[in-house]
Amino acid sequence: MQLNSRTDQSVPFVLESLPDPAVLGEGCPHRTRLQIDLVLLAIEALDLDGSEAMLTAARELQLQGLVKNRVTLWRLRNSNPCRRYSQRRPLTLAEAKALVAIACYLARRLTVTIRQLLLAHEQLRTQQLSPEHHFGLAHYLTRFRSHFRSRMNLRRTSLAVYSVDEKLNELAMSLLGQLLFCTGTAGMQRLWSSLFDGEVA
Amino acid sequence: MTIRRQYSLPNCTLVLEGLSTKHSTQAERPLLDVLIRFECHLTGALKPLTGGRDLLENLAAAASQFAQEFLSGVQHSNRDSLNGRSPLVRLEPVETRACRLIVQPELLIQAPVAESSAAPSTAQPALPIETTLSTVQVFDLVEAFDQFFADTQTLPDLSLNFKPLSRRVSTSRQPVTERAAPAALGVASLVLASVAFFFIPIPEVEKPRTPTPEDSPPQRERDQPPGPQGAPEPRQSSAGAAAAASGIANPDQEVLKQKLYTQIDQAWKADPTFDQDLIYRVSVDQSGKIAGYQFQNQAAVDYGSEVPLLDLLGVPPDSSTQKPLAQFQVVFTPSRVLQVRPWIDGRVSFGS
Repeated sequence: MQLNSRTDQSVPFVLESLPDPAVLGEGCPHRTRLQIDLVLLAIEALDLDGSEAMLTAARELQLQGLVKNRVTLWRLRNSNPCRRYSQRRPLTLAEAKALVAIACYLARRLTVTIRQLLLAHEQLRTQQLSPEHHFGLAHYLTRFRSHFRSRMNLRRTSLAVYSVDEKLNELAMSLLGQLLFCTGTAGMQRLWSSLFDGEVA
Repeated sequence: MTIRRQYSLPNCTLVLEGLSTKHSTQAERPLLDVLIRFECHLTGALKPLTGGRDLLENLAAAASQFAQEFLSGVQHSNRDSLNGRSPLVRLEPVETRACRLIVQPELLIQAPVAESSAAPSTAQPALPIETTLSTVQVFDLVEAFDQFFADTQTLPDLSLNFKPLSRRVSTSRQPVTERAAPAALGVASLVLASVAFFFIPIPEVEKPRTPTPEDSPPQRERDQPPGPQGAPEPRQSSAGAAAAASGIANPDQEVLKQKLYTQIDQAWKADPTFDQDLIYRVSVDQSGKIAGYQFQNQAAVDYGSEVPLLDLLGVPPDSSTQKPLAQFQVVFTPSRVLQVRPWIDGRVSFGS
């Protein structure tokens, strides 16, 4: 991927297409932080080597300034207030943009898988079969559920509904659909804008 | 010569036919800036949606809006009414993973009779066209438009605009029932609270009782020997004015009343010229001497010189040697009758 080679820029080239929304207060709103982390969680459930791929993507997108290493990535993702080990730190707009760019970059790579799983899900639904009848889909859902339960603070009342498998499956499928929209030509701008719907002044 | 542009995805193909008004020979792809005909082929649909620029713009806007709603879960506009009428193209979610596309007939061109496509064109498009799309199909529709928007050689005046919904708009999009819920809850709590408090009796306010000679002798007798020094000493007049309270026990009060009566009666020589009662509040000390007095009505002020109270006034007690004071109401009547009654807590006691 041909990218701007200048690394001294304050805003990396790939993030220039994302405008700064007029958010209230400092850093990203609650829903933005939660949603970014969930999208990345869905990518990890799709890709066995997801977290390593995120660091590689950060390097390839020239985002090392914002996502230096595994620890930084962990801290950025743990700004999600629903995490078990949630960090009480704000997520700046630049950091959020970097995570969105990484998510869309990886989603685009996974386009084929995402489309296959969504088509399979549609097919199973018309046949009134459960997702467990499709190997890939069952695998994705199992991985997503285990990731979600091991990392999120399920004692939070907002997450209490996800103690049921069906609810988590619904969330996983909804995120898979969102990932599909991230793969598009304007996917990154679409995801970025959607993260601030109802949050700007 | 017409230019034809096609944006193909597995489930959706957009075909644009138009003209170029700018003649540029060097460009390999000429600029399409006038649209003549627009077609949208969706898999699963019986026939393509055919129309002009109106259809393209409305369909693109609806698709883009649906994508943003899908991503954020926040509804962008009120689907039910847009300026009182339904929008020309609607994409509305029907189940969790699918949506319904509704296109109003006024946007669609039915092939004229002269042209080729024979059978379907005969029916008049009275009803809107409805198609159900899966998530992947909607995505292909959105993506086909996104590719069209990204193409700078086709209708460059159209472009994508993403703007996050403002907090104010998104809250006003919430159903009225949802927005009214907190207010209703508040009113309900208020009603419940008022019903609950209705059954709780109103506490009776009791004035703090100050010990007075009238109502506290039993306590005083129990607590301390009755004597001039033992009583609590309230206070106290400015020069000439009567003092505030009395601390002399009941048996003494009767004696003092007599003393006061006698000394005023003996001193009152002048015949009254006043035609109404003169009322004074008079304080006496332990020895029966008048320590101060206050006027209780206007006549008492006006005719103060006719009564001997000022002459009988002793030296005001200084604060270091305060003596218990008893208070009396002294009334001089026009018929030259003198009345002396104990004064307790702002009222005259007739009891003793």
